[in-house]
Amino acid sequence: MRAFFKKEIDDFFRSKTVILFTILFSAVISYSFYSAVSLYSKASVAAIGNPLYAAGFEPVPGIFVPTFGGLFIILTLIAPFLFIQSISNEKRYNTITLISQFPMSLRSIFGIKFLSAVVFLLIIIACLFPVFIIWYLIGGHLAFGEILLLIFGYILYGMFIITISFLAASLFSNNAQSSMMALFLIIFSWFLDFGKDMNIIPFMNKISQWSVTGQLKYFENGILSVKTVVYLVLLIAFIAYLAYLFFNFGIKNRVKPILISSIVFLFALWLNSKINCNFDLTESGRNSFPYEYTEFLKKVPAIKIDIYLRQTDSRARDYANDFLKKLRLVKSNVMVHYVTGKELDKNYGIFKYTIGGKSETTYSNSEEEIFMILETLSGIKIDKKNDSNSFKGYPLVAKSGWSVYMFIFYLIILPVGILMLYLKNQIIYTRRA
Amino acid sequence: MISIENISKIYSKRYVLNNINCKIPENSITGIIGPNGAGKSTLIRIITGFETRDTGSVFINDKKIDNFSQIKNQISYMPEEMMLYPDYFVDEFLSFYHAAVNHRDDALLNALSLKMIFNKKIKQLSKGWHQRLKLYTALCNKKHIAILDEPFEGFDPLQMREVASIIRSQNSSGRGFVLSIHQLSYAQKICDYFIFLNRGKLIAQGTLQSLSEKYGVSDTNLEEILIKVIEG
Repeated sequence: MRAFFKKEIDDFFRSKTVILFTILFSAVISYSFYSAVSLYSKASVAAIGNPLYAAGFEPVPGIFVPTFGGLFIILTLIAPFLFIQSISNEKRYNTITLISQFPMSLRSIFGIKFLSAVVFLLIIIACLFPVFIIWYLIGGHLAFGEILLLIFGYILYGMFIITISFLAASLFSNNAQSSMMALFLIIFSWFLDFGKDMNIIPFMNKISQWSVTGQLKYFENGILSVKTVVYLVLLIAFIAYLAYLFFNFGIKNRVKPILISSIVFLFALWLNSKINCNFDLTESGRNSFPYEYTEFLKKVPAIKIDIYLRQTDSRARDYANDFLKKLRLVKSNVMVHYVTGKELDKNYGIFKYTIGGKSETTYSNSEEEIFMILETLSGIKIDKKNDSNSFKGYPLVAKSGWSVYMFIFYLIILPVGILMLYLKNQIIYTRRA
Repeated sequence: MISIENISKIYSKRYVLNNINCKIPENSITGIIGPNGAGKSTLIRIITGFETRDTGSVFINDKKIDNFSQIKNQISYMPEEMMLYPDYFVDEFLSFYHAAVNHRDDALLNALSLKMIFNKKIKQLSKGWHQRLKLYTALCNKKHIAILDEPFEGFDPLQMREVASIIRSQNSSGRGFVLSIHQLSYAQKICDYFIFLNRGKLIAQGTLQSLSEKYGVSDTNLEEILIKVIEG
């Protein structure tokens, strides 16, 4: 098993694709990081000495999310080609016949391939660590909780890409067909998000909540959502199982296991939908209401909200992305209803709140006014004694010349290192020949 | 002993194998003989578990085989096509292979003269060397049956003799062989049991002696027997 695992890891670095991958990775990551630091630095000039403006400066959304955005592009558009090779090359060279005769089960072979792909993914993510070091060296602040959450989210996303790539490679015996299939499935998830933002088809809004790229936003926003983590783990396990079913050439009838696993997966999703356990890991608490509001909401019974706005209306979107998002982090028993038909036209612009049969309406979507209404309806007072600490922010004007560190690592050390690893075999061969 | 009962395989509504029933004697060198497209490779792939069957059963030593892991512990298989990593050096590949199967056979390495090509990349090997390396992977294990699809393909007559002697020597040590061969003269020299396939059907099986008697061929010539069998 160890020999096979070692071979699998070696094969990632033996492929010519890894050189192209490293060059693109280095270029994209270094450019994303450089642009993010430059913009953050320029904007910070005005924030220094202005506490109110400075409070908006957070390194994770300002620096690391854009940098990891580069990783997102690499994982989405380039990495599938590398991961697909792990299975498709075995089919192409018929070495599947050889390895399947080794003293280990096909399940173990598949498992080792998956594990080695995850190790390769971790190596890719580890290549982003110099970004944190450089940021720290130039005086930046590292918010560890948020950073770890961001890394964790990308590990899960990368594992999703691996399973999709393995599924595509198991379904087709041809590299080109597998690559097209994998890209189609991955980009479809992206398209769902895009469709939701554009509000193209109402049905899309419903299914877009399952989009993996959409789920990744929780990690980027510093929200540890147990529901999201469990969903991604379930999805990865389900797709990996499907990939294994097609990888195992000895299975004659795949319909039954596919049906059973689909039912189990859907049931697990349904159970997961009942979970509402979220943690705001941001230092500023930007995803949450102030502490006293959160404590108040925990005591309030179920809330029903009727929104007399079209979902495409910018006010409805702002309300959903700000107030509703924060509210759902605290309360699972919130029922939101977008009113349609004649009622909508008659009362356009109104938000109607109902608690325990009592209702009140308002045109405002300001937090303060909404909480005043909720206080009245619930009869519970907000305890305003608990003042939360105000976040001061981390503006930073980077010193000139900092980008040299980045240039040395991403545009020299990393690509040259990978090239040397690749050429190692060629050099040995030339010496032997 | 391998028993095959009512095996059928259909591709695109056409029978590639049609209700095959046969017994492969224990510790024999059995040759599966037939013209191109007879279904030899499909039958081998079904016995080795690399192909699913539409009907029928395979038994090894009277035990019904239901899954691939039961087969692979007892049978080693060498396909006709490539099954090696082209970008590996031979010694690098063999080191990996020995570690993966936890077995090394220096006598077999010497018999196949593989040490001569240790410094070469697999993709640079000629068909004959490629075939030797495949043979090594099929024979470097302790499984008691080896199924080889066209093992003499790509060899000159001298090399064929070397390979035949390796097969005979392993057979005398207790390993059974099933060979798909289209060189009838070699099949006659090496095999002690024959299964004749034509257009997906089993048309005859037995020892050379029994087949000669059955089809009235006096000089025990395999080619003559095959022609008689096909002509009916």
